[in-house]
Amino acid sequence: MTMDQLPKMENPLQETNEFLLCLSAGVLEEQLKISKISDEQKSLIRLKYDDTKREIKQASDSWARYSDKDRPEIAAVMLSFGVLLDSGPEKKTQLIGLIDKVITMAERINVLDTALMEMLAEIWPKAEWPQTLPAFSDGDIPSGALWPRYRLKEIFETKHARAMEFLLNSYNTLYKSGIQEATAALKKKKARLDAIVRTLDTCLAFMNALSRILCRV
Amino acid sequence: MKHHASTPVSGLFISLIALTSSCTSTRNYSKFAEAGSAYSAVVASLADKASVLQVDGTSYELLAKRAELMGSGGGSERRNPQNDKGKPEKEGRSKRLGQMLIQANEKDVAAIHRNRLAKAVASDLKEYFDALGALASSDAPAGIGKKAGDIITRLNDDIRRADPVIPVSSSGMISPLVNHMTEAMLRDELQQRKQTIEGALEVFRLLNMQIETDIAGHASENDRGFRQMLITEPFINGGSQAIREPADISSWIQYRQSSLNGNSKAAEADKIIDGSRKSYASFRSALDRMTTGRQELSIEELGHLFDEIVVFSKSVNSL
Repeated sequence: MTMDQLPKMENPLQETNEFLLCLSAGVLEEQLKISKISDEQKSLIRLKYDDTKREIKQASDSWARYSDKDRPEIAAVMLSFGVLLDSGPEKKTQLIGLIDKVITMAERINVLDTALMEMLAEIWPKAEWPQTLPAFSDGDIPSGALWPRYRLKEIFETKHARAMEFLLNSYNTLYKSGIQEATAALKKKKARLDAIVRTLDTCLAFMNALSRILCRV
Repeated sequence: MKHHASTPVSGLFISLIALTSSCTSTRNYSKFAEAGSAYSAVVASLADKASVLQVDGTSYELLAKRAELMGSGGGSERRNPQNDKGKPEKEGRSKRLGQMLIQANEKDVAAIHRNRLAKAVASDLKEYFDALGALASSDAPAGIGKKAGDIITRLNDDIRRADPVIPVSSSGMISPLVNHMTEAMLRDELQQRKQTIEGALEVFRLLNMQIETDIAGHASENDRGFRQMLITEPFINGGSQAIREPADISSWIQYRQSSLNGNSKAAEADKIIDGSRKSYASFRSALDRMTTGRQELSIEELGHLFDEIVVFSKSVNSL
């Protein structure tokens, strides 16, 4: 991938942010009334609602600055490193020389930047197994001091965990009760239709019985 | 008089047909719900795969760290059994290895827990689409149509018996009317909650992308770890990891075969990610078309969407 191919990312929280504008505390309360989740979970959602709202707003607001300033710089370093990782022993010195900068850049990746997280996911397994890199095919593997092989993996896993927790928290606080309410409404509508069928059955049975009685009379 | 009474009924019937034919049919909603349910289920299995790859990746990492700690190939301890410093060194190493394993286990348990929570999100959405599908494919509207039709027929017979000139209603009206009501109910349901469903799906998509990226990284790690720990290390190192016994030799040959000849988890992961993104894009576009009503989705298109998700599901299971 080149810099030109790096996908321009819109704010990943745009939709959630717009949804938040409509999800007032009152609307959330209405959803919670219908939702089948436990009272304990409901209390937790009420407690987390303001924090989640604030977190999403902050993350959303900081996206523009990150996208314009940080992202291109990080991507450029990661892309150069990606090319060096696939190069032969002639690039060994450059490769070793760049790893500290890559680590610094990786630490600055926004956890919701899926394109750069993907780039990091391509890089860290290669860095973790330097023996498998063409640059070190001569068997001269750099020491841990020169090549902190697990560091990029640690950064990726920490960021991945943070992103997952943030998204799970957003879902559980903002959408869970709404989806459950929608599911309950659909089930209720189906139950209503089934009840009409049963009522009509009763009507038919009643008409049949009435007809038999009238015939006898 | 009879003729006069049937005219508005025919008019109503024609307008009802027109109204019904302009809407997405219950069959379409049912197929759409089926696709949504299948997609949610596949993402749930994707979360399971992520957990498996995570644990395997950590195991390779642990083995590599252990080899580093024990010295190249893990053979140094064997070479100096009588060394005076050997015992405290060995104890220190054992302690560090124990701590390393505990930390790795904790990290993996936390990752598995997060993947389980992601599965719970998938399960919420699956339940929603299942409920939508149950309403769309319910035989209650047909039952209502038939039973109400029977009641009207009976009433008509009784009316005719009492007075043959009194106009009677058409019993065939009920079925299309109830069908239309169900379709309207489904459409309203999707439109009213469009923002919630879209928002939840968007978070679900971001979660799914995180899981995919995690899978891609760990699949590549697994491949590299596999090659290094099971093929290269036993081949180049002496000591405990040497290929000595016939069983070791046989395993090594097998490992090498599977590693070089199509056992690449990274390649499978790439296919899965590609399938996942295509499925999501098709599904999201279907949702837009179902809720805006700007462009009707044919049952064939929905069938194609469902097939696409089934193919994706198969590739997830192959990893």
